[in-house]
Amino acid sequence: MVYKKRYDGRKFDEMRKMKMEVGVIDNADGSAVFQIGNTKVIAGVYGPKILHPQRLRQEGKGVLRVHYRMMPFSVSERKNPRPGRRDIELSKVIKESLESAIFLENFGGSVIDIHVYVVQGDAGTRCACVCAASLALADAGIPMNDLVAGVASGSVGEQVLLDLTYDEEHVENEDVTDMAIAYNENLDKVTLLQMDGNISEKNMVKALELGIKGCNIIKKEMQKVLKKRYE
Amino acid sequence: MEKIKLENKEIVVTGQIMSNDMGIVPGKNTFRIGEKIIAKQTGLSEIKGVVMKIIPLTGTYTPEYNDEVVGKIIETQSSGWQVDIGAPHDAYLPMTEYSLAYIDTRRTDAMDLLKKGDMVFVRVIKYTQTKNLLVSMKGRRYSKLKEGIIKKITPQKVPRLIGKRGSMITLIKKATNSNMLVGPNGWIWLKGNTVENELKIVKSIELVEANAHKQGLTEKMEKILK
Repeated sequence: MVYKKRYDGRKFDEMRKMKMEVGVIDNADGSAVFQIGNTKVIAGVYGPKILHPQRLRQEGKGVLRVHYRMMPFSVSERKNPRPGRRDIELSKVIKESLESAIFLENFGGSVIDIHVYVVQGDAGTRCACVCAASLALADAGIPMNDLVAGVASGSVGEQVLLDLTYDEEHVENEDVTDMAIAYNENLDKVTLLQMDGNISEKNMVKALELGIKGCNIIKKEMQKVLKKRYE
Repeated sequence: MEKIKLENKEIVVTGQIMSNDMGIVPGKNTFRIGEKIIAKQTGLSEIKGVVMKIIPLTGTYTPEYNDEVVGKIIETQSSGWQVDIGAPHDAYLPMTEYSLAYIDTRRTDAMDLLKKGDMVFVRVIKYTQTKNLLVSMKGRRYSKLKEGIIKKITPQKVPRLIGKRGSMITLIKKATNSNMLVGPNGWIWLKGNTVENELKIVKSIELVEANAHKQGLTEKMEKILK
């Protein structure tokens, strides 16, 4: 079987429908909800504030902490809320994708805490978390050089496609590859790149270019949402 | 390449390209990559001559030398107090800076002068890169605030509450016949002669908080205060 038509009827280079909102948590300094298709994440930013314990403080440089978790009800089979290997890895990966965007040298001795929770998971949660986190950071008024956007791309068989769903990641009798991308447009840098599966060199380049295009579309959408708050 | 040009007082979003003209200089809250000038924060653009800057609409308070702010005592120590002034770091108020008069630090008990939970009006006298933050109460303007109401707003909206040369704040003070202290950290202390007047001020502060980035605030304010 060759994967010629997508399950949800989208084009191969089309993303799922997006929905975003900023300023959803009053207690937080900045917050955002990001939804792409059935994947929905919520992010809250606290800080900059004093970092305890003192030995973790860095002179002339702020510290960024990211806390990624999946809610137990976010997937069809209950997810154990205890932080596992995956949660810790994704926290680290999201942190590194955002670190280059923030002017951390302004916050020596302090910490910025980002909490991202997956409310509903349908593939591409780490990319959605990057988007939600950078929206929340912008909402908190933390100086950044760009909004970092993320999207997944990959291939099913020989077909390169953008923004895979859970069903597409599990197509039977086909080689499925999915690749998480986060892109900083102003620096022209890919800040997150993870891949799972087998892919030819030609298709990999294609998928990467497709992903970057998708990131730019998401970034424009994010800017619209931030602007809307003050109109 | 197409020239990008912004109007004055336009809403700019983090990461937005504000200009690609090498004749324009990036000011506060902006920076340059190649030819592009990029916004660091969400706010209103302001162009003065060749300098382009941003007045932010959100964010935390960063202390500056000589800032007069309202603060809260959070801890009493042997020869001073820890004060929360809404900054990322706590400030320290040494006992020697309590008043203009001489204080013998060995014979006075810090608890007799100020206690945890007291509100004070202080001035920032030191803020270093290592986040050493010192405040002082030396001077006639500064004292312990014994009664009144404390209200907090976003620090970036304080200039709107004060107005041009204090026009907005004098309008509120005159209309309600009350006392008000506003610091750049967004903490406001207020005290009116009647409860109705105090509630009026609280209402007017909330109006500024909601409409800080819009025009025609003074007319709206006059309506509320009538």
